[in-house]
Amino acid sequence: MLPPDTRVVDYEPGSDQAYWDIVRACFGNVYGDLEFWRGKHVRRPGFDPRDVKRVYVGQVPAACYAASTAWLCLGRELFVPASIEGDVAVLPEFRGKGLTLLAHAAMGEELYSRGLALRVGLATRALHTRFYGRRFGHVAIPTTNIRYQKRLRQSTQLAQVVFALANSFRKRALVRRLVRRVPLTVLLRFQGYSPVMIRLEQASATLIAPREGVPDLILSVANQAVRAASGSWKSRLARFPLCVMRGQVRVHGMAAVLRRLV
Amino acid sequence: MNLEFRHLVEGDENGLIDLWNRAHARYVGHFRKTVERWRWTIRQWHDVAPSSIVIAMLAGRMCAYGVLDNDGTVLEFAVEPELEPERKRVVCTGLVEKLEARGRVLRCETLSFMAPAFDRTIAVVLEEAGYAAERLDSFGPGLGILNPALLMGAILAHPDHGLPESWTRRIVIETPPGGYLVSPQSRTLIDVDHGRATVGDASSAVPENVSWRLEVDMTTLTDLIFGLTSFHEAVRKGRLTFAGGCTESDANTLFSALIVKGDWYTPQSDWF
Repeated sequence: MLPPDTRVVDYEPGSDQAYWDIVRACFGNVYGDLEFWRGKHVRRPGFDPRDVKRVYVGQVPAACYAASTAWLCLGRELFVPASIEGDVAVLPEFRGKGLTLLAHAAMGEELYSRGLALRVGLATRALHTRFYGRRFGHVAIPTTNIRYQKRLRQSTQLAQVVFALANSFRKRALVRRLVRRVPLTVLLRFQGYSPVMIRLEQASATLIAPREGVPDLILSVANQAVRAASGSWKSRLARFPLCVMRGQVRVHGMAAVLRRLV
Repeated sequence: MNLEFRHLVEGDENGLIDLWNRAHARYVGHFRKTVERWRWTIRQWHDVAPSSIVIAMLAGRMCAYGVLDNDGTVLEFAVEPELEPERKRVVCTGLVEKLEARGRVLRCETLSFMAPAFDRTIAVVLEEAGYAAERLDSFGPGLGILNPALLMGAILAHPDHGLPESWTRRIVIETPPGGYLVSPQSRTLIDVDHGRATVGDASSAVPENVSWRLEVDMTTLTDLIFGLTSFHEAVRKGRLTFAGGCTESDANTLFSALIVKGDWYTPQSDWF
């Protein structure tokens, strides 16, 4: 399966472009530029030319494989020398020929001779199941990692949309009745966006910071409902009843608010 | 509460690393930080400006910090673990707000934090600030043992992983590759003297005067050490065998001492 005249070589000064060409061909613009590659590898403290390998098929640099070394924590003050491996890239026309396995084996032998105990690679679970776990024999470690994300720019837009809608709603008869004696403070929590608090009065609607008031009504919209909805903000609000039934939208304080109508 | 926020200044790195290490001491799976590596990761490789590194000062002492990458990824977020919960919540809230303000200056579309699931304070602060949480099941570390003798020696030398003091014996563990592509060692020797273990590679020759012989392939050994399978499951499936006077209880004691305990958390800045 391995093509004839295949060999693994270590990094040499001046060969940066060869690596970058392979990485760019495989990962595109997502990866970063040549300076990013240099910063990640060649300029890393403790960089060893053996940390970055190219696989040649004949005269063609067809694949690359990289590692970094560090001390991995295995518990309170227990650290072991380990490699962190990645930037595995094989040009499309050379895939399926065993180049990654060859590079992995060559890197492994060298890392072992340098006194490392563990090898670590970060990848999607799908890729691990399909390839790394199956071919390298490595195991996927479950983590406690949680990713938290918020849309910053759209949060500002959301606040503006809510403010505009609030200003429009406050002129309606029902809303005027709700706020005829005391203002109504509504907190809108769209998961993935900054919370928006609106104070509705007969004469005005005001955006206030969530910490500066106690809301009378809280509307919480789960991420699934936010992502499932498409179209304009008005159409999303139109799907409100279905989302409530699914528990993706929750309303707190409605009873007290409705008592205002009595 | 005398809480202030400022940006990174020269000389801060040691304090940040010390705070990071205290904040993450209970977790497994992160890499040791040094000033040199931190500077390279944060300031050179990711090219983070000092104004994107926000430090919370409580009564003049560092109590938390966050590092915001130019694309809106918070590479590091650490909070003094000794803070009482309410203070921790206030500090985290303020720090998140400062990082968001910086994110708006950088025109980041989104802001993304990574945190361990067991840190409820950070979770509550971020969820109240509107962040959507996602368990990162779809991406994570794959791990392989390169030098089982070195690994087992390091584990058994740690005070948390002792063997019974009554043990004085010579143990050989045969480790065929199993599913491993690269497996330089095939046999590990553990010399135990009153509970203290000396571990070495015995691949080149079969040791003499062995008390116990065990056999476990590398894949199963990895699963056992990192808690992905139980000793009894491995025995039941025939993936771990023992002989030469070694009982199942003895083997269980040995492998129990080798288990890496703790919650695995790989922070964003360690991703390669």
